[in-house]
Amino acid sequence: MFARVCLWLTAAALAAAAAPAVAAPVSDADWQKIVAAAKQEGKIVISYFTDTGMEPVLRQFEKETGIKVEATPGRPDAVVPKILTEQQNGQYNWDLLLQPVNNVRLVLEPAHGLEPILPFLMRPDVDDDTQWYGGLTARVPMDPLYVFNDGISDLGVGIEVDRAKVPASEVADWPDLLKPQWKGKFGVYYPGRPADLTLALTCYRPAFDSEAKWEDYVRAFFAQQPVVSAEFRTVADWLVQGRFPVVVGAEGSYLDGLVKKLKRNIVGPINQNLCGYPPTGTGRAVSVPKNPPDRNATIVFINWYLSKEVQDMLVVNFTATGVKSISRRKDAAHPDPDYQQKVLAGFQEGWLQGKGMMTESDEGLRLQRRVIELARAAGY
Amino acid sequence: MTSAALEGGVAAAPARRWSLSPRALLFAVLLAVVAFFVLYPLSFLVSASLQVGPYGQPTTFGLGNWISAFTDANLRNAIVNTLTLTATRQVIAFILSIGLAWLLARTNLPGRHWLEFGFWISFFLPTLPVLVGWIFLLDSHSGLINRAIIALGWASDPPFDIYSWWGIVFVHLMTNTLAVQVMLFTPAFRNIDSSLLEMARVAGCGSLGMLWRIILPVLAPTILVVVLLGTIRSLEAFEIELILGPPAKIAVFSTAIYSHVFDSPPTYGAAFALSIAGIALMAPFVAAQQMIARRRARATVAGKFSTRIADLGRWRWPLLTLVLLLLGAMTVLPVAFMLLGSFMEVFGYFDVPDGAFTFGHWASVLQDPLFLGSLWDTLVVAVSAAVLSMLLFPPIAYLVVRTRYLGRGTLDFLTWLPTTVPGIVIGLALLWVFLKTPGLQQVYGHPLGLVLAFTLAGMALGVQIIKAAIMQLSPELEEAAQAGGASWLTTMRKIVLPLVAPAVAVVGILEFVAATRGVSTAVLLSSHATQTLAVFQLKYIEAGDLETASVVGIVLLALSTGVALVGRLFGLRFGFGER
Repeated sequence: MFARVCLWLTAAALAAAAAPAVAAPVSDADWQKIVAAAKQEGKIVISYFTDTGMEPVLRQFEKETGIKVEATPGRPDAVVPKILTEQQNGQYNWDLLLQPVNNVRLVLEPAHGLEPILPFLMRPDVDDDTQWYGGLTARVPMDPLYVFNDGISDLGVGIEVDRAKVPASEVADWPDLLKPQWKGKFGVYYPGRPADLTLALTCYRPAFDSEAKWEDYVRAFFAQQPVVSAEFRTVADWLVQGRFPVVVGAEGSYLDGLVKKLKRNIVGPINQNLCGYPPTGTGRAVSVPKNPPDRNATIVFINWYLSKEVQDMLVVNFTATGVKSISRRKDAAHPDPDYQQKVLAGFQEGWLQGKGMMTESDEGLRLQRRVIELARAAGY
Repeated sequence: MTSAALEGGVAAAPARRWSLSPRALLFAVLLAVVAFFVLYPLSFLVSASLQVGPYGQPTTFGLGNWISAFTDANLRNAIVNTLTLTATRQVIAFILSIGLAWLLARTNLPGRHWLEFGFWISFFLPTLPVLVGWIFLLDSHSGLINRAIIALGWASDPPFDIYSWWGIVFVHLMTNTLAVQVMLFTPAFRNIDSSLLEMARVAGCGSLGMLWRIILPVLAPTILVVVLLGTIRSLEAFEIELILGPPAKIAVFSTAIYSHVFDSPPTYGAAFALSIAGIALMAPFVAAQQMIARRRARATVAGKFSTRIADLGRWRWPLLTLVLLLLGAMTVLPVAFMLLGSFMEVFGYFDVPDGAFTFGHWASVLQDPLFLGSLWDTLVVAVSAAVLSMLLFPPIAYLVVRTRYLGRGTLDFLTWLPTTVPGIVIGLALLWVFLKTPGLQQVYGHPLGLVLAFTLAGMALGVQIIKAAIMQLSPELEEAAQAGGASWLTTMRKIVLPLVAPAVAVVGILEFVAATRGVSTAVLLSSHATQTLAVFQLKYIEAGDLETASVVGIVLLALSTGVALVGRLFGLRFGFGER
């Protein structure tokens, strides 16, 4: 017990020493102490999004470090209230979240349920502002930073089209969907939930010089009476099976897999990415719930997870499962270098120049909620 | 049968309302335990619904959540849809299930016991894969049945659209609604004493007269329970509406609650307000059911109980064909699709150039390091929940039916309440109870926490089934035993329990199945150390990997069916109370 307390204090002291927004890298000797303390703790408790791409990564960590990963898959909308209820009753059971940011930001952060993330970055190659495109913070509007976005997303959501049936001259971007011939003739994901459709419409906001004009478009969009499904898989099936030659908000990974397997001429998203390729997770973004019980193991995991080797592995795994993102680590590779270059260019010319929008930011979330309100007003 | 049983409902209640007898003590303990586990979580819901502000942050007391929940522009439509959909499927299911129950219980329909078992299998099937199977068949564009009808030239446009009001009614009937009514009505029909019908016939009653004056009054308590359970389940059910409803712009009450829980940010206060409103809506119906049941209870199993089977004559085989077709649609078809889906590269796509079939989904489940652990946890939780239910529900049912203690109505009423709250909401409330209550904190994340949650969730159905079985026993059996010098405990052990044992065993099996399948309640109470297969399956469903989810669904179905089959092979008739 005494040894455990000492190890914890050592790590806490190291973490406290690293408390500034950008922490000083830890020396090798101190790092070995943290690793030893982590092995003493013996485990790390992780909540991760239900992606099969993450599981091999977690097993690899166990294999390399001997630290047991107690990982529970689940959606953040179920996990986050559970964690918060635990915390408010004095139970701190979780070390790490590898989850999409929405609920983490909306529920845990305002309730002070997260630890600042940067003090957990300690290895010299990880805790290095020059190692990451956009630096450690990547212009994420959060101070202190509670969520580390290790990847850049191309927000693979929007209008998907079966080009065998609908040529580019007919549907090329958002305004085309307001043509009379498309009334009731395209499918969309359920607009009552902040997900792919609300994201796509939110990312269309920068195309307008005022919010009122954007709202007019969104109203006109729903006035077209698109057919909705609350199952993203169904939206993709509608497109592939030909029920609707145009859909909006089909989740990319399933649709991509289907298109590859069936060798169909389905393209998308065809609309321009106006969100400017904001930072996001490679697998999912990294955040630490308040008072992680295995603090040292958490530090070891995060620094391992953000290393070049693991970022490479993540990108390969997630690309295979259809998740579209690249790593922000400058030395990390991507199986498709052209795609990597395209996303990087968008990130540097869009997001980093202040042109884009992060859908998880306060502004992004407000606009998503507005889409939901306008959809409800239209009877959805 | 005693005249008291015929005229005045259940007799043999003690004259004294409270005493220090073991029975009174047992009643007090059960009332206290049930009240704690039902009212304490509900108090959380009430309190949280009155706290205005984001969940987990400082809040103020007020009616803001209630106002925002009830001023939602779409709520009125959702309530109307809920009521019309519920009424429609309950009426259809009622008419069909009465006919089916009569065929299975009181006629010489060939293989009727196995046919009855078929309805149980249908009840065990997980909803989502079955729903996907029906979409595959009845989608207005790509549904196989629609395509076949058009290809055969019987129609120029697809005749069926599953994404519709009638589609929702149909899938509900094919999944749970009809099966559960047949399961509950068949034993009740079986326990109607033939001598009653014969007396009525001698007195000149025709078939309709017998139905109106004998069968319906005798079955009134069961009918009320079945209708009420069905209505409550309809209010709570959301999976089918969530998938089939949006394309037709059909929202229901439960999907309105769901939207609040999964909104971003979640508006739990509004969800809790709607949940409490749902309870308040159902409470008068539960109370009315209790009152009517008490007035109209009829004991049908007495010392001279007799049952006779009607001869269907030349209708025997045509009726068998009809029942087989219906059962095939409810069981064989969905199971076949689940199996097929588990071996398909992508469910529903036969034209994959590199091959439409694969063993990959089975390999990925069987090689998943969490699979075996989840299987073991499922067995531990499901068996424990079944055992606890079999121990807890019979005394509750007995005390409610056979005594006149003050508070027995309250005890009965309390058993209904957890059923009226959506699983995810009751899960959150239980999470709060486990974390707040000294002594229960250790239960959180432990299998026992899940056992308690599932027992609570299954209490209404379990208690009502055993109540129905006890109500059909004439008190003269117990009176005779006690007149012969047997103590109350001996009477219980040697008379009552053997007679209601099949019903108790059925409750155990139902609880086992509910615990293997339950997701929404379990998801918040699980941990890495304790995770059932249904929660394990969730990760595939949420990732849209229905093929791999089907593999887990088949394992779950095998577990449920296996237990039911073992019960049957050991002589348990799936018509509890059958003699």
